[in-house]
Amino acid sequence: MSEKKSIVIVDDHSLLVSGLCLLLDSESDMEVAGQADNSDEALTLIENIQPVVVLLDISIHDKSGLDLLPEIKRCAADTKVIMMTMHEDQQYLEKALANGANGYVLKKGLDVDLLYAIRSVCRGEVYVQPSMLKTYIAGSQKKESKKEKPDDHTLLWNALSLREQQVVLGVSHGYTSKEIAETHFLSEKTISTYRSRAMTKLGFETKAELVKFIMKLGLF
Amino acid sequence: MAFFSLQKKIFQLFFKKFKESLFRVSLRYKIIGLAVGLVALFGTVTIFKVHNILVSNMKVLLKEESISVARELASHSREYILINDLYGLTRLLKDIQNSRPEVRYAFVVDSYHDVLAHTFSGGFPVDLLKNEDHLALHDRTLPLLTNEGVVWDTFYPILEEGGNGGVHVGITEAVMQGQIATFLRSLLMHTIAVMVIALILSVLLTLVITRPVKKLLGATRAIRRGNYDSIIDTFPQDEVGDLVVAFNAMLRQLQEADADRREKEKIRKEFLQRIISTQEQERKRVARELHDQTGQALASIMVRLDVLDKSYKSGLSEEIGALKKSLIEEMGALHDLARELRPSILDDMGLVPGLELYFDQVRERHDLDVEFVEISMQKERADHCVETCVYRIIQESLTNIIKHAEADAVKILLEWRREKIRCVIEDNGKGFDPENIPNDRLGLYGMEERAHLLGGVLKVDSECGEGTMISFTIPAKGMVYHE
Repeated sequence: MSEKKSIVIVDDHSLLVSGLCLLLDSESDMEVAGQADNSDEALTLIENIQPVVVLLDISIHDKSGLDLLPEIKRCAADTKVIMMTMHEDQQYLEKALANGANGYVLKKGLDVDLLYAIRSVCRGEVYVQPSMLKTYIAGSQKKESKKEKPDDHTLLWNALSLREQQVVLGVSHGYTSKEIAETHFLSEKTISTYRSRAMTKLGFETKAELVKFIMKLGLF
Repeated sequence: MAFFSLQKKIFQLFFKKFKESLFRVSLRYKIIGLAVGLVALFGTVTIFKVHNILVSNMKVLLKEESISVARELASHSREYILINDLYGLTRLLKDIQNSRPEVRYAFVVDSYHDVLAHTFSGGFPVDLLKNEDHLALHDRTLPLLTNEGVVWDTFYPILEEGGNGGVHVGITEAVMQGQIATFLRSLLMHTIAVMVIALILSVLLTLVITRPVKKLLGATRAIRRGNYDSIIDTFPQDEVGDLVVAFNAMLRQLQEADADRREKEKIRKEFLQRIISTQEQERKRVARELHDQTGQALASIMVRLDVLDKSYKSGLSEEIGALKKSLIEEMGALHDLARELRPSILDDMGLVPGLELYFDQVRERHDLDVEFVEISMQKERADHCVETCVYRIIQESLTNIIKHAEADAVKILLEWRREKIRCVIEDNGKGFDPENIPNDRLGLYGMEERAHLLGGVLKVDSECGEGTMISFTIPAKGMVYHE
């Protein structure tokens, strides 16, 4: 039988920690090598022990686990870190993975899932709570397509509707509301509504600002 | 009748116009106009009246003079006629003419209608003898209209009983009229001089009157701009002065009231801010408690159930499985509850991830297409009060839209521009009339108030059928009150 996997638990909920100790120690291939309930203690402990796996709570009282994560990686490069959290939100998952987490386990799945996660990360895999994978993949695909994020001016311009863009272009070229209304077969009142809403969206007070902006976009 | 009523109407209209234009004229011109106008009126009436009196007096005087000169000449000329001294007679007539400038001419006729002597140097104008009855017994005086003006011509018989010719004397009005004209001209000059004096005096008077009035006006305008410091310290001791005194008293009260109002407003703002921040703190605390205490306790129970399940190989695993299932459900509900109270992601990761999470939830729960554009928001974290405020305003807006707007798409634009966070929330719903804000007035008010408290402004732009646009700007680093 291979050597037992040393595990450090960083969590400030004693009740949960003792439960986890019981659970992990009952497994033949795992042992709890230490536990910490604050960030400093955790870092010292991890640096000394160099455990195989760290179970890290996202919300320990003195520091966010997400911020502690890179520091752990720095002082124990080979240690795998599994985040334990109540947060089912993609944003947390993304940030955790971006900061170098090897696993992400929800606290409501702290039984079979946790053991499976520990074994997975030890094999060098990444474990993500299965219930969160679907949204995560969808999200990353969307990100992929949005990767080439346009510059701020274009973003702002694209926030306008087509009509608003037309009206604003007309205004910047010096046409009156009446003239624009005639070109687009709309009432003058509608044009001035479009105009004022477009200006609000762009956050401009004066026509000069608008013209400058349109020139920067190269649409003048 | 119709004609009269029309006339009356025209008159009324004219009077109204006059009154209106009188109201439009400034006080200064009213006073100046009054003074100068009165002098002019008085002068004109005086000149007119004096002219009338003088002219009628002159006529009487000239007529009498003409008679008296004629009588005198008649009595003197008798002797010359008797001795037939025509030269002497002529000299007598010339002397009279020389000594009295108003005597235009004098001549003597005999009973044969012959002119014995006259004062005309260039020949006798025969027109004067036309229609004359030189044998008349009595004297008579007639005004003759000549090209030199009116001449009072008097015939006086040489003998008392008449019939032997007589003396004619013509007294011209021109001389006296010239004198009257000179007199009236000087009267006119005096009137004008008095008018000038009246003008100067009334200008001075208006200055005295209008200066405090102008000061009052300036101070009133300052008050409208919110400046209550314009106490007027110099003022006359008249009615205007009383007004100034009353005004100053009012101003002092306004100052006090304003200071009072400001103080109250400040306290109100602080209080409101404290309520809001306390509420947020409390929500945060409860959410954390739910997460960290209750949630963890449930998690640990779960772990222990697991251990129990493994160590006692009893037939309880079905029971334990059911327990675990309900525990998992309970933890999910707990998590949702905590997130609704206050999403910890807002504190942990900031505004944009917090909002993205919130929009995900909205999309999931409601049939609403939420488009979110953020521009330069990731540069740095804003003040946490500001983040909460922006989050809550957007949350309130979306709640309103979901409740009332009947919209199917919402666009949210969030931009960090020049140390300010700018947000525009636009929906394609039914909109409302801004003059007549419907049931959720308090919601809008609350959003405005939240923005104001942090030094921001919030604007609502809506029209029936045109959707609603809410835009606000808040300084990113916050201001006013912090807990």
